[in-house]
Amino acid sequence: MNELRPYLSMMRPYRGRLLIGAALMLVTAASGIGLLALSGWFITATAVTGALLAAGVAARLDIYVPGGGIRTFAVTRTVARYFERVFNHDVVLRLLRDLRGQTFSRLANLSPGVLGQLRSGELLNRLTTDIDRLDGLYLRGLAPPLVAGLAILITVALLAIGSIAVALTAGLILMTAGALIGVRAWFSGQALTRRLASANANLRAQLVDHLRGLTELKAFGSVGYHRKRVDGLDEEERAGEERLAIEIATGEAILHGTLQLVAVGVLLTALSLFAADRISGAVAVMMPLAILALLEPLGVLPGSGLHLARARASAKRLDTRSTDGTYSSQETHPGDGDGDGSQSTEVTPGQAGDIRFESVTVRRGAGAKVLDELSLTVGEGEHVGIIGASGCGKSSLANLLAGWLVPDSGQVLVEGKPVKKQDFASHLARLGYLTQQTDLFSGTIAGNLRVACAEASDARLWSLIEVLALDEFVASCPDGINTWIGESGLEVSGGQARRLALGRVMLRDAPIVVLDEPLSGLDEATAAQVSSAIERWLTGRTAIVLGHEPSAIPSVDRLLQLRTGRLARI
Amino acid sequence: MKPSEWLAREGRSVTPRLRLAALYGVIEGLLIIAQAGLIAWLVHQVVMAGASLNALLTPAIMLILVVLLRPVAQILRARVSIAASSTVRQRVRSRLIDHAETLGPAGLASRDTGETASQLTEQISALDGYYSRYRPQMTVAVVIPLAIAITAFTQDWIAALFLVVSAPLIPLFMALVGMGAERLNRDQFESVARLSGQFLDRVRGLTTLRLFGRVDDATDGILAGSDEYRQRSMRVLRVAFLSSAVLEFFASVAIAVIAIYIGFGLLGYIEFGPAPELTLFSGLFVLLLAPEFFQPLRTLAQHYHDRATALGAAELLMGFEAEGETAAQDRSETEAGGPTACGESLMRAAPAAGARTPDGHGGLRATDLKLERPGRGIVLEVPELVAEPGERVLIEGPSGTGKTTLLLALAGLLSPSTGDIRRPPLDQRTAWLGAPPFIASATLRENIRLGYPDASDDALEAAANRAGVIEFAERLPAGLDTGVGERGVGLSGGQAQRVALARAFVSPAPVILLDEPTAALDAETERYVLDGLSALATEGRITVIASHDRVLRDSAERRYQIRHARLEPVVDE
Repeated sequence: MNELRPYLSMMRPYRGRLLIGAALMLVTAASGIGLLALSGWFITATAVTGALLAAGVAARLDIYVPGGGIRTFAVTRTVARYFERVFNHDVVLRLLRDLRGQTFSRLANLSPGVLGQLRSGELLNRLTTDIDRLDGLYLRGLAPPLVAGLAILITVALLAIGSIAVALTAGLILMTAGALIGVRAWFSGQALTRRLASANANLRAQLVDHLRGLTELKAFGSVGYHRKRVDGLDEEERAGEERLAIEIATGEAILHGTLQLVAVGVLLTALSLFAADRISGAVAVMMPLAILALLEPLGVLPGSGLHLARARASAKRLDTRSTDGTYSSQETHPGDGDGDGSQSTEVTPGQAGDIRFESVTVRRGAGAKVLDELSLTVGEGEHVGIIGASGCGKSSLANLLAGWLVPDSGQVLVEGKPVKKQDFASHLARLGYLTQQTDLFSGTIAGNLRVACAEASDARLWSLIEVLALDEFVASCPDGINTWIGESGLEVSGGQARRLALGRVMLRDAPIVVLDEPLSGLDEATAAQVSSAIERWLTGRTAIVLGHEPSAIPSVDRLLQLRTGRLARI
Repeated sequence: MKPSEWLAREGRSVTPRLRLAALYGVIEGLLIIAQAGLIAWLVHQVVMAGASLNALLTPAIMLILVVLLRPVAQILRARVSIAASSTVRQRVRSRLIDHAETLGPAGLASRDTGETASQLTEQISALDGYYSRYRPQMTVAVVIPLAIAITAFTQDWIAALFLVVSAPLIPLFMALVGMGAERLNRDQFESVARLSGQFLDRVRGLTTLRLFGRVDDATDGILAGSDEYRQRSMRVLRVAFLSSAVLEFFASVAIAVIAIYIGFGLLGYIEFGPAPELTLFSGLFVLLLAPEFFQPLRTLAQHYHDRATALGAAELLMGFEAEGETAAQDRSETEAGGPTACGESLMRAAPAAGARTPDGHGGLRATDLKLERPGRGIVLEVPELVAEPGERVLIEGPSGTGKTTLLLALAGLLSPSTGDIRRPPLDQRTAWLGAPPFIASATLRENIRLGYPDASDDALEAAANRAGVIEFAERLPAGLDTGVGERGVGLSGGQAQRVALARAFVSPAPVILLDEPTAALDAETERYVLDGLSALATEGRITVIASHDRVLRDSAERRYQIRHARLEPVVDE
């Protein structure tokens, strides 16, 4: 349960609402019990009285109080159920809001490597599923056992009118059965969900491979070979789903059976108590009916056990995902962000400092050196181009400079100060870094650019768009710079996205600049135009430009090649 | 076809099992009636007739038996329907994967692979509830209330009338409420989708947000967006919950009305109709049946969202399937009406056609091709392309001019709109080195084996050695058995290219197609690739390379270039 603790504590601010929600659930359950029990009591009482009257015996029965009670229960059950659902879903959506916010800030502390992986559809997909499961933690996982327990208590109280011994025995059996079945669902649910989750992920990964590799598989004539693996995993996944569904259905059936048996037991006992003249006939009928009315609140226990198990698995996944970052939390400050970043500082050439890599070594995976005692000094205002094949460590170089990657030995200094000792936010504020990956947000073109500088004027954005040869494209968009792009908006090409990302960095106006493959996805003519724009903009800034070949970067003062972890002049 | 019809069609294969599941459901319902009757009988005998419990041993034991049988029926029903649903999903998934395979890379190009994969996994899983819960319950929800109404009629027709009158009102009210909810739903759908997409969007772009110091702003945005999402969702939910409240209301009121009617009847206050004949047995029997009359309907209403989920999934899956259908239609139209048959069907007849290749022993020849991509029209015209065995053919041209399209056509994965392609006879296999090369989430060994599943381990290792895979695999913990790909060790571009090259080595394919093989390679890998190409050429294989890399010019025997959407031969200066 430890994994769930942070999510339980998230509910604390909503204590009041959660209590009201649970109370509404209880009122619903209680009205259901009351309706059936009182109805049974009422008709038995009327039957007995009616028989006495028919026999000529003077008898009286107050029919207005129970009649009114029955009508009240009927209405409260409906109304309470409706408001319970509306109210609780509102609370759940409030919790979802906090959950998203919290998950997001935790993810924000991940290392860029892990963040890069988050772009993959599979992880994102699982992230949403996990959050969805956790938002139901209260409504589907925690509240039902609580309400079931309280409903049993109400029934016990009703039974106690007839016989305290029967009430306690029945209550004990029901509590034990409910708990046993719920706990069983929780344990087997954990094992089964774990297996199912991995079967799911395997199937998905294999399917992605099958589709992505279809060209190769079809060409090589090995579709059938790979398909067998997909089919095998499909079998495994469905078997897992079946087992889980059967487990839950069996739990529910056993719980129902137990409840009915208890009801029959109570009925027979109550009838014998009646025969012994210890209780009235009406009470004897009310007692088993009160038990039968428990079917609704108790029936959901196996499901809620499973739900808790799933929520726990989700919490665990969210937790590992957000704690395996490589840099510690002290490097990120709570204030890491707004203000600092968006303020553009006017830069004059003399202000740009130098960059120094001092025998930096970075190891990856099984000890392979990505960077091997690499040293490099980029003077104030100097532009250095670094060429290297993909996977040779260029992006590591850039991430070292950003402080996202900590060298295994050696150090990186910017403006004479070691990167790792600098305040994270103010360091990033002086850095203009174009990452290899292009991130566009669904939003307007202007909004995407203003990520770099919230106050940038429309005129400033337009001049930037012109410089990046995007003017023709933007002018053709229905709403100009206010055109919605990205998901559920206009689609932009890879080259256009790249230029928007570049525009963002240029808007930033930082003295230290790192550009990782700035011209990727651009055709020759556009690349030439953007290239000269970059050259003009870089004047007065200290810059490192990375590319896979010399033609992939603008002209620079010094061109170096990165191979086997070291730099060499070309 | 409507999604509901699609769901019904898919369920046809398991109809007997769904009927069996419904039968178990009906049996359980009949047991409920028996249980109510027995309880009422026991109560009546003891309370009214003064019988002793000992004399009622038989009904008591029968009651216990009924109570024990109910969970058995419940479990049997669950097992049968769960298995039926699994069968449907297996068939749908298998058929849709077949579809994806038929569509091929060209047909799938416009789709996001991750999205398609999630449709084939999650959307198909989303069909589950419809078959395993909703469908059997549909039968149960008709039969059981009917059986209960008939039973109630035998006891007291006025009480039964209360049930029967309220029953048709329920779907009516639910439909009214449902219509309102649907309209609200439609109105809100887009904005709700946009809001829920916002979170994922921000997560995807976290790196950028951090660089620009905008994480806190984004968090605020997510909170504000989620609040808006909540308000909009609640507007829909408030109406949606009304429909279940209607059911709840009828169930509760019917119980209350029947209890009060029976009570007054038993007291002798009601003197018309069957009321004077009411006994505690008939009264209690009807009262116990009243909630059970509504229960199957309520369960059906609970499973209604299973249906809605399945309908949504069905619509997506149908869309995917339709893509296949239109493509197949296009193809059959071209086959029937076009002046020349399409490439694929010609290739099937390749052995015969192969005899007519220029030199008679298995070259590759394309004539008068027009290549089309969906949504882009004709992208490339190929008057003639010839490649003899042992030749390396280079196709040059800037990116985006149709080089990959041409390779797809040569591999038989894209049917040309007109023209024909003759490939070497006998062996239709083609080695393909894509850009970037495809690396499956599997071991290095399995990745190489994808080129030729029947390859022996020796042949495989020899290929790995020739392509320079062994060189880096040696440094990996499990050598060739190290898992690579998205879920294993990440390979650099050069390493991936070597794996692809090993695949080509191990494959006996007579034609080898390469898409930008040297785009982002280190010098060492580039040498492996160039040496490999010449080795493959000496084996007599045909190599077609699409690239704009000048390095490859020297080693090509024949060159073509793409200019103004036409493939032209290049004559050496």
